[in-house]
Amino acid sequence: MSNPNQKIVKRNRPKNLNLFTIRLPMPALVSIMHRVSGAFLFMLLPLLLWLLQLSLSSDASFEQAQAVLHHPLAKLICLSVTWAYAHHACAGVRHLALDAHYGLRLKYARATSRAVLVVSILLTLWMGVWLW
Amino acid sequence: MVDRRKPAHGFSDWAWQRATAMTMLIYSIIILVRFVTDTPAPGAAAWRAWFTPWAFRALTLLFLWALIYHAWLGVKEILMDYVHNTSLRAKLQMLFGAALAFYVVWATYIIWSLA
Repeated sequence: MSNPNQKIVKRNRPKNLNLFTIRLPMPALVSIMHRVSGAFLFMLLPLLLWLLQLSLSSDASFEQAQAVLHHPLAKLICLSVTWAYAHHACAGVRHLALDAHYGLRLKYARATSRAVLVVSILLTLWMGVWLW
Repeated sequence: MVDRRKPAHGFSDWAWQRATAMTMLIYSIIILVRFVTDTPAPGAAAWRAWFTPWAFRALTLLFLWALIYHAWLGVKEILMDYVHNTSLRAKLQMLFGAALAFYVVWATYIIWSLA
């Protein structure tokens, strides 16, 4: 007979920390993407400053900047930067609203995170269509 | 690294992150509106002329400074979360901090050269 007062401590409780099997809730997804997009923008900052400098310093360097931007890879980078900036900005606005205690209820938190995803993709598409 | 003799800087980092974010947000709206209403003509000269008005240069510089300081706060936060070895974190902070300090000078030089 087992003693009902005996405390059973399970030391091998299952953990589920596999990032590939965890299904993130919408707000968590937006939160981690906020961080990833920020880190991405930080890494591309020198490239963007270099392009700004090229485009502004002389007529010859302006042509050079244009040539760089015509490369398909550069266009892809441009689009991803646009997306990262749009996503980071939208998620940031959502964050500011949360700071001010707007949209804290789960229902609204889910809806606004979905809105962040949709609006940033729409902004990227708009920029894409408008740039090319 | 945390210096326990000094008061924590959590609040000011928190506040500066938001202040710089607002600055960038306002600038982003201004530049989008200006791009649509006052689209720069093609060519190097028109592009430069578009940037040259002093108010726009001042705003752009303010934006770039805000962006770089915002990036610094973000970098510190990410390192704090993922790099738990204190001396390695200090070294990485130094490295990224030096890069960002260089970007401040570089960005200022780019905008300054337009005058």
